[in-house]
Amino acid sequence: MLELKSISKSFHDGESELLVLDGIDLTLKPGESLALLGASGNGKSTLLQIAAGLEDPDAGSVQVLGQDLSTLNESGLALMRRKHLGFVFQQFNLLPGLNVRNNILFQRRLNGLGDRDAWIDELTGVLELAPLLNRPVEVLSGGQQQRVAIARALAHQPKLVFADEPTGNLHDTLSRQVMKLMARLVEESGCSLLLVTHNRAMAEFANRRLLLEEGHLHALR
Amino acid sequence: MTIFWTLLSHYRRHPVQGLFLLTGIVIANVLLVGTLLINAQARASYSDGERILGAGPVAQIQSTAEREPVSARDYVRLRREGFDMVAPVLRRMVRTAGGEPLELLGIDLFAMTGMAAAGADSESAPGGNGFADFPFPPYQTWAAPGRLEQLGWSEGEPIELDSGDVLPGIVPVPDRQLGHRMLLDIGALQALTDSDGEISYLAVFPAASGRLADLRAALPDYLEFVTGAEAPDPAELTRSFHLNLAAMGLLAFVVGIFLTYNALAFSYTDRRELIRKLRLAGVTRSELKTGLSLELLIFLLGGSLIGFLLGAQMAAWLLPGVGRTLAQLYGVYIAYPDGLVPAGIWLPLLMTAIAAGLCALFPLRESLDTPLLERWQTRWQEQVVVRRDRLMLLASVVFLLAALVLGVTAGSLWLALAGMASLLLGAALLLPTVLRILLAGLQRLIPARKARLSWLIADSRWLLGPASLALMAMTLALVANSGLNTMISSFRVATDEWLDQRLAADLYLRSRQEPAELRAWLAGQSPELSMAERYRTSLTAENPRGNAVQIEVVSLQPGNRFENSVDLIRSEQNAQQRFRAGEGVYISERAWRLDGWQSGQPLNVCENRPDLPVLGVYHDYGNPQSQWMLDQALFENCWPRLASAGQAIYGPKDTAWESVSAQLSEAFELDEGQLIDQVELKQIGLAVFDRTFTVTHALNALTLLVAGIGMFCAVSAIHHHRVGQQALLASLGVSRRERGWLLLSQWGLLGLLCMSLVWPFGTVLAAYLAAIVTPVAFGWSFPLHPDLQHYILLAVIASGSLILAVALPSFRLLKTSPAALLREQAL
Amino acid sequence: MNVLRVVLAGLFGAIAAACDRPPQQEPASDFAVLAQAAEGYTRAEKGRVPRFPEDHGAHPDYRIEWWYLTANLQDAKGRAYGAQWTLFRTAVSPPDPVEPPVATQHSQIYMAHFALTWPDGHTAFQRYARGEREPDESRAGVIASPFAAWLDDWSLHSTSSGWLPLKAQARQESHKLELSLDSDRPLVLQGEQGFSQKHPQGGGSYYYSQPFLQAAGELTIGGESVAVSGRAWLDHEWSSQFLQPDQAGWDWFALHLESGEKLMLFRLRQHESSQQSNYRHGVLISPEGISFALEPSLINFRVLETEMVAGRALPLYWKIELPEIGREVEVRATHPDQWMEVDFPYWEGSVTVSGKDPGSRGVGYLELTGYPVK
Repeated sequence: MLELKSISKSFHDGESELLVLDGIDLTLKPGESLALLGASGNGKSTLLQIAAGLEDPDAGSVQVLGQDLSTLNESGLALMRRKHLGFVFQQFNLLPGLNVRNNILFQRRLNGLGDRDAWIDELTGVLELAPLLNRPVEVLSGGQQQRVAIARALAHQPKLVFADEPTGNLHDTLSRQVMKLMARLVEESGCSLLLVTHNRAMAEFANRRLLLEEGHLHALR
Repeated sequence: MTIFWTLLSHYRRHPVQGLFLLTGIVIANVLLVGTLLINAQARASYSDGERILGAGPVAQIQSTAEREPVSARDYVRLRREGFDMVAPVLRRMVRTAGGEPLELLGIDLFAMTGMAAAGADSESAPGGNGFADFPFPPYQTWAAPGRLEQLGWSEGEPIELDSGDVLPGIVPVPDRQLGHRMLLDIGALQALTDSDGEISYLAVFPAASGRLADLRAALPDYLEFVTGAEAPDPAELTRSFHLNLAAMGLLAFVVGIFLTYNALAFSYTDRRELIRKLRLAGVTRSELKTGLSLELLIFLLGGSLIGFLLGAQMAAWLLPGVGRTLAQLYGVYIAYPDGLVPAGIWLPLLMTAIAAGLCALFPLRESLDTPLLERWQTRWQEQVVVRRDRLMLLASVVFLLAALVLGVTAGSLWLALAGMASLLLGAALLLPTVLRILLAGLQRLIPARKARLSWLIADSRWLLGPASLALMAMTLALVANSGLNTMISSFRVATDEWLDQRLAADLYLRSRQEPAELRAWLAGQSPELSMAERYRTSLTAENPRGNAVQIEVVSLQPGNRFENSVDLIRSEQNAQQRFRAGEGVYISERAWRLDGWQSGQPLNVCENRPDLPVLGVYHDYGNPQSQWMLDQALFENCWPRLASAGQAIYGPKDTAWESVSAQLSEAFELDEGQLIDQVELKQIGLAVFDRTFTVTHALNALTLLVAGIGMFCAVSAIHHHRVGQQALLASLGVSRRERGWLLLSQWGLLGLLCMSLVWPFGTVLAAYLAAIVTPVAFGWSFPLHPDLQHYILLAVIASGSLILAVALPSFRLLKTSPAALLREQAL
Repeated sequence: MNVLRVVLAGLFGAIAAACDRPPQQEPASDFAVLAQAAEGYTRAEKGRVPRFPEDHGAHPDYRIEWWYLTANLQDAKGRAYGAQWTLFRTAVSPPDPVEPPVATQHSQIYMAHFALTWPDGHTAFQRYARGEREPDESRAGVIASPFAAWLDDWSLHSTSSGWLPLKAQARQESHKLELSLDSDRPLVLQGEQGFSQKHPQGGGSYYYSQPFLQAAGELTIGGESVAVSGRAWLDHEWSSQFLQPDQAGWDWFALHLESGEKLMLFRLRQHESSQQSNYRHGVLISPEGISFALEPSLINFRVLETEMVAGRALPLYWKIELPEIGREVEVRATHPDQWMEVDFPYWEGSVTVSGKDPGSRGVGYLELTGYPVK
């Protein structure tokens, strides 16, 4: 499903060079969910972005669904994301101007899929979005926005979902609720999940947990 | 001070924003300063009066007959009778081989000595030679450097005329107030234009009043003495033109202020977080206010200074163009000094300061009033924007109503221009609402399944929040452009048709030929041709408004052809018949509109006749004087001793006019200048017309350019807020290429949609100019002929320039990797 | 008005030769023009005797020419007045057999000076004009017969079929000149049969005079008219090359003596740098019109006094010794303020002549040119 081999990445900060990823190997099996823990700003998000083809690694290779990303050009990568990947970010997850329904269906429509099927009904049902469907997204609360984001990320039934601090802007109780819903739906859809978070409680929702520290991955008890 | 530097550090991170703010202030100043300087320079020239080599003649002696030269014999007789204050001037309009009309002035230096002419130091004269080479072969053509620059000529360049002759060596002569005209020795000009012995008029230089009275008494009846006081005052004549220029400057000022506001809004909004942190750290609101005001002041001073310097440069660059317009439209000449005196920086600075202060007020208050403990949400929330747009709509309605009221009632130029300004502002303020409605409509038309398209429309609506000010500035410029263009092209069509009508005859003679001789010759040689005589005189009359005005009186030749050439705007019953019978006169539109004579009103035409009624009003484009027209019999009755101003020959359409004119010149020994055919007259007329409006076109283009720069600045600033948007789209699987297309088509669409206002309001503006402003300013009206091609062109310009303005910021945005975008948005 | 100064300084420099600058600074500039311009023109040479009335008219083939009238006048109360009427002609280019296409391109330029001296004052005016093909269309010109020379309303013309009597007229502002001139004496050919040498190397001009004119008429000075009468002297001279480059200016005396004789004297001053000595010339004309050329080496000019006029040190009091004819005359300006403030300023004014006998007393005119500003 997802295979990262010897991924390295460093950033320049003025004169000094900061090595954030130092030969990372990582494999994610189909249906598996993996939480990536670590202090904020230590390269977790970068690892996620490299895995999703949003950023090139300095060294190493990424295979998504058996496809080596380095063989794809920019539009090939876009097409790959459009078809097989779903994203939930901490904020700015939604397209302003479009209402809830159109946001949820956006990626689905890009893929030429129909607007209605059992899965969509399931999503809106589970996430309790039905009464919000015609609202503009700007007026939603933070929790509502993240629920819409989850629905959007799963609407086209991706093979792989990337979630980067999906509940980072929400308070604890709400975080737990939203995370629970996401975990449930990921499981129902049978896709794999790569979750990046600094919050151990959130990481509990994943099958497997790894800790990123000083550029290396460590298994977590 | 620390606070000040901390606030200013924002521009270190976003230098482009600082640049945009500066650009807005510069733009507000440039054209304003430029037009102010041009107007000031022109007015300075007017107050100096007409000058020939720096000497100011007090009067002119000219032939009473239209375009008839003063003979050398008459001139020499006057000089030999002791009137040494008269000097001959030959005025000739020639065209270069390239078709450029040139105004040449021939003078006799030897006749001007002792007239305090020039006060010129020969040391400062060109080439160090002073006047030494001017009056002698191979002669010289003196021109203002500004004029040469305008023509793209260099010193000594041989300039070929359409006659095949070559102008004497070009010499740039600064500081001689030559302006639009070029100066030659009169003999050289006579040789160049085949006008041996001809003199256009005698310039009368200052002399004791008794001598001037003697001079007047010594004139034969076919020469008239026209004093400067009797001639129209150039400042009065050109007032409307200068108002128009000032209006253009103000328009650009408004565009600049829009942009300044835009830049300030972005700059303050982006610093809300910083301001919040500073306040949390204990900085008071008044300290922040002081810091931000100081910062604004620095931008204001810097921007105004740059704007001022650029404005002065622009004025120097445009001045020859203005001089050309003034020369051709009004026959008024202004000097082109080498450097414009940078006086009067205070008015633009004050205006900009007040405007910028007002601009800063709202975003400043908004930023300072942000609740301390609440993280700032998106500024362009729809409700906020909609509320703002509703306010603008309200203002727009007020302005449009004001425009309507002023349009109906405007009696003075100021009111008419105020109405025009209201119309422009009303149109601009209407824009956000209209665009919102149009986009909503479009969204309804597009099926939701077209994800990218419906996003494009939805996002465009969102864009109306941050971009509408810049779009309004652009719309303002486009409406003005469209209006002026439609006005000018309509005016041109009207002039063209009017020339067709008025040049009813095919050949015009301006020699003092014995009419009987000519008639006899025609009867013998070409019986199919007819001849008519033309008469012209001028008088001073008190108009119904109580002012003494100079009136040109002309005769209308008998015959259907001539009768039909007068197109009456208003007429009394049986006007044509009564006019023919000498029972009344026609008056020009100017006499009606500006002087106030009404159709039907009695007019004292000449002393030996009872008052005659005004029977009709006709178009008389381009004539800065009011005109009365009399039937020829009536005219002859009124002024029996007046010689005819010239003859007109006309005949069937298929006449071989070239051979007729060749035979005529041979039979009556006419030279080229004395025999003019209608086609040539018309060509010159239209060439003059076209070049008259070059300045308007140039300013128009500049305003558009200014709006384009503004768009570029605005888009760059907006794109800064679009990073998250792009990152999201990228992660959702929209490729870079697709995003690029989406961005460009989005702005292209906005440009096209702006046309929904530009087209109708441009047309309304043109109608306003044609039906309200021009009649009030010039006394001419003309029907509107919308130029469809230009409408399409405008749409292309609008969309194209938007796409161009967007291309670079978009390219920068797209080039950044999605991950970097994600990181940037998180900052 | 100094617009034309540069042009005309070049053109008329030969005549007025009043150089504003000290000659040693730029000795050649003004006169180089003259030397060059002589090419293509007819040269004045010995042996061609003037013929009349043809030679009263203009000679466009020669570069420069002038008609120069001065008059020493008195009013009824015996107060002295002076009048000067001068017309200069210069050709811009050598004569061309092809007529110019346009009349105003005629290559003859005229300049006129008009000056009045009264007991306590002096005024001078100038005018310019281009000569034309047709006299009727020309502001300035000279016709041989019946004689007329004019520039605008300043004119000198015959009033009958003969050359004499003449009438001189000029008016400017509130000043006016109107004189009738007549004589029963013949013309005097100067130099050798009308050829007057002006340089040791042989340059010269054709030159004749009528020094015996009786003048009567009216002067108007500042609007006040006064009837005057007296004696006048008319010179007519033409040449293509007058001064040589090394000559700076001249001192010229035209004197009416009580004996009825006329005495004309001049010296052409060399530049200080020049090796040549000043060229001197003198002629005594008997009351009958017979001239006697004086031996140059026996003409002795002595300046008794100079006065500062218009910034120049001008010799206005002279003693001239003529041992050859046994006379000694003292020549003194009637007053120093007779400066001609025109484009090429010079001093020209009435003088009184005093001496022992009637042959050494009288009145006359003195002309001083080429004195530098101090």
